[in-house]
Amino acid sequence: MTTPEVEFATLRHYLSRWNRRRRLRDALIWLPRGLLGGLLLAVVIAASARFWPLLTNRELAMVAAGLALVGSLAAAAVLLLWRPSLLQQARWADTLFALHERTSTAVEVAEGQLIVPASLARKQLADTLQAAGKVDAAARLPLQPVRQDLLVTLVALILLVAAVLLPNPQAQLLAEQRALDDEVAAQQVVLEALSEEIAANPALGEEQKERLQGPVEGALQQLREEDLSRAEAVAVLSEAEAELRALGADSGVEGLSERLAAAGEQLAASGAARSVGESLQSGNLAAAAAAAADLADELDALDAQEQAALAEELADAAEALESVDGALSQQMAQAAQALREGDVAAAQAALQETAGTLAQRSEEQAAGAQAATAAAQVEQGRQAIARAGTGQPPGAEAGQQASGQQGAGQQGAGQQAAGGEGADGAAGEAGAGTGQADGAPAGGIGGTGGERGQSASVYVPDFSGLEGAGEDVQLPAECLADPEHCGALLNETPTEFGEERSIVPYSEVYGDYRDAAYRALDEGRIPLGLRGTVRDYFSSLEP
Amino acid sequence: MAASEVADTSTETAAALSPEAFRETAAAIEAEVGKVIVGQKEVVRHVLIAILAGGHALLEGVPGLGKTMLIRTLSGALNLDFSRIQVTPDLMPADITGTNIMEETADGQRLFRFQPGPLFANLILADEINRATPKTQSALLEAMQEQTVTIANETYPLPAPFFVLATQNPLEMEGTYPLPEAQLDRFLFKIFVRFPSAAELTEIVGRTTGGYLPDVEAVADAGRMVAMQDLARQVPLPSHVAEYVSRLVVGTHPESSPAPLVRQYVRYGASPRGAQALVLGAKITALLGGRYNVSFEDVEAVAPPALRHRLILNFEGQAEGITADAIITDLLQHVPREGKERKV
Repeated sequence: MTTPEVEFATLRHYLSRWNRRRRLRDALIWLPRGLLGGLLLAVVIAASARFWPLLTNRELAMVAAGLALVGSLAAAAVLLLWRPSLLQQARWADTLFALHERTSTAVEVAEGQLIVPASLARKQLADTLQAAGKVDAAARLPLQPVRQDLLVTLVALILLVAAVLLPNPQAQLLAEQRALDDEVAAQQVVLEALSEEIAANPALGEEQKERLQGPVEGALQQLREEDLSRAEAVAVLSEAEAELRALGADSGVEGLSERLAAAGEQLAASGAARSVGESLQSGNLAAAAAAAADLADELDALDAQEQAALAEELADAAEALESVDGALSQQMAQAAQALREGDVAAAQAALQETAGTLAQRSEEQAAGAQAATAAAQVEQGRQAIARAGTGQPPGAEAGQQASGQQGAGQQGAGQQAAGGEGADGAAGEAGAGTGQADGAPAGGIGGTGGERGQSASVYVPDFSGLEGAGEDVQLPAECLADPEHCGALLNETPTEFGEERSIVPYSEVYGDYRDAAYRALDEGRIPLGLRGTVRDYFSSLEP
Repeated sequence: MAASEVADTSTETAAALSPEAFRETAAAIEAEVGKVIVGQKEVVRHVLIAILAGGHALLEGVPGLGKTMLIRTLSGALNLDFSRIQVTPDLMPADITGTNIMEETADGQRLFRFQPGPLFANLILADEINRATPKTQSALLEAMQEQTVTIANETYPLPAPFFVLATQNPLEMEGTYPLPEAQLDRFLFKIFVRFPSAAELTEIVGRTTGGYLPDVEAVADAGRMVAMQDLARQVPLPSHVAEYVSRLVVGTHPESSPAPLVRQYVRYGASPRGAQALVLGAKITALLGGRYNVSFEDVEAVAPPALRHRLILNFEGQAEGITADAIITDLLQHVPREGKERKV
């Protein structure tokens, strides 16, 4: 090895030694900084978790640990992967040790990037080595972490420990939110199963399946949307439930089995139409349809006396069905008339039509039953979502429902009055009074609602954000004791109708108000979160 | 260095001249000049750098600051032929370049003989160059660039080394012809001669009003100067420093400058000659500093004299009295060195 090569090897040795020390110094600086970066990010998350329901304290601790680990690993990875070239090392050394570009020039000369006369190159290299020999690397590259970084890391750690140990004000809200999310997910599964059940129901036609699946699929789709609030989820299910109930009501077969059973008594008496009558009495319309078809086929085998007896039974049954099912009544009457006139073929045709109508009623009955079942499931889901995470036991609403006289009207009115009046005892009584007054006429409705599951399903939205809105009115004590002789506040001009009472029955005006409300719902004028409330309110008032 | 040694350096080459000898010679020149010139060390250093780089320098300062004395002393220390041209508006090009004169020989023949003008010297002092007409300025500056003089289709080479040190008075603008930008660009450095401090002034008064005048010894000669010029050009320039020089020169142009003052007040930036001046000046600065390579500091040290006459201010800059030096300072602050990006 020539002298310049030896000298350059010496320079490389210097550079290598400085670079090792630099990497060590960088590790001492940047590993804590990586850790600090992760911790600071965790502090930001912890602070956010105090204002928004994001994480539980336990989760926060895990996230903080994870972020700190990731930060440290990222810093370590960068330090390990960064391998500077010899020229980069030389330029860095020139800058750090104030070598005035000596080492980088020497490296460029040695690597042939600069053409310099040999004598000058040797002098330059010797000068570089002389300057490098005077470098005090330990003084310029102290192996110690930055104290400020350590202090900030300590502060971040203290903040995180405090955030993990102190109770999180968002914990309950977070638990409710997660319970709600879980319940919404569970209801999605229920709705999917319901949709499959409707699709697999052999008693339903394609059109009926499609109509029944519409609300279910619509609700399912809306429940799959992100960031659905409790009110919105309840509103979605409430709307689906209402649509399903409307479909059940539109089928027109509600209670048809019971009413046909009366007509079945007429037919069950004789021998020929006994099976038809018994099927009607048992409410099995499909069996009744099959029996009617069989009767039409066997009509030829009946003698004149039996045909006459059958004609009378059919006529009686038609008369009994006249107010129940006009079409069925007319077809039976035609069959009876044809038998009386001895026209067996016409009687057979009328009986076949009767069988067809009964089969159709059977399908409608199945659709109605399916709609009712689906509505009941949706209602259960809605109640479950309304309860999710609130700590309210599943039977709470059922208990209220069972109380009979305390119907939905009372529940709603009582809560509204309490919310508006505050903590004053007298006001509380006033609230209760209002509840009783409103609830009393709805007692019957409550009974009906309880029967249909309506009264318990009324959803009362959270009006906590409206607390304090409006003007508080302080009533004098005498107003509570004797409202009729109250002060100016209640002593308004009496109504011009005086003691007159309403002469229009409630049942006649209810429909107008309900229709107006439903129009508003259809036109989208009611916020999504309140649609279920409006719908349930009018359902509960239904006469 | 003794004057007798000077004669031996007339055939010196760059290979024979060591950097140590370069530094010693330069130090000796500065010491000799320092015998006469009080203070003005930066001016002396920049003039010496310009001479060693083979360039010309424009000295600007009010009268009486010793500009002529400085150059006269330098010529004595360098043992070079010296000519002084006191420029006036009626100075014609032939007055400085020389002219053909009719001469009658012994046998009665009449011939034109070229009579060289004052330009035919190693060191030229063009005093108050801005008083020359553009025509005369042009003749002088052409000689500076080409180092030749052409008379009647005959080209005459000027002696080597050839330096022009021009002066101009910044105060008296009446009856002057400011040098055009293209001609200013031919000066390697523009050097400001500043008023001396009170202590220096006291020293000047003491030296110039007494009966003793110091002798200036010749410590170099033309051959040594050429060898020093050759050696200076061999000093290695690291690639990242060369890139820094390029960034600096590009940064003097307002459309591509990171410096706010340049963007606001400069109309035109430096030419490539500016980069050459920076590099040559930095190389000599490195050698004078005892190093064998150019550093960022060397470039920054010569940036003001190398760039200040190459920045053409816009109207706003002139109206607000912005100086080129302020812009250069701003430029140096905003153009990053390589290696400054990563804190170490």
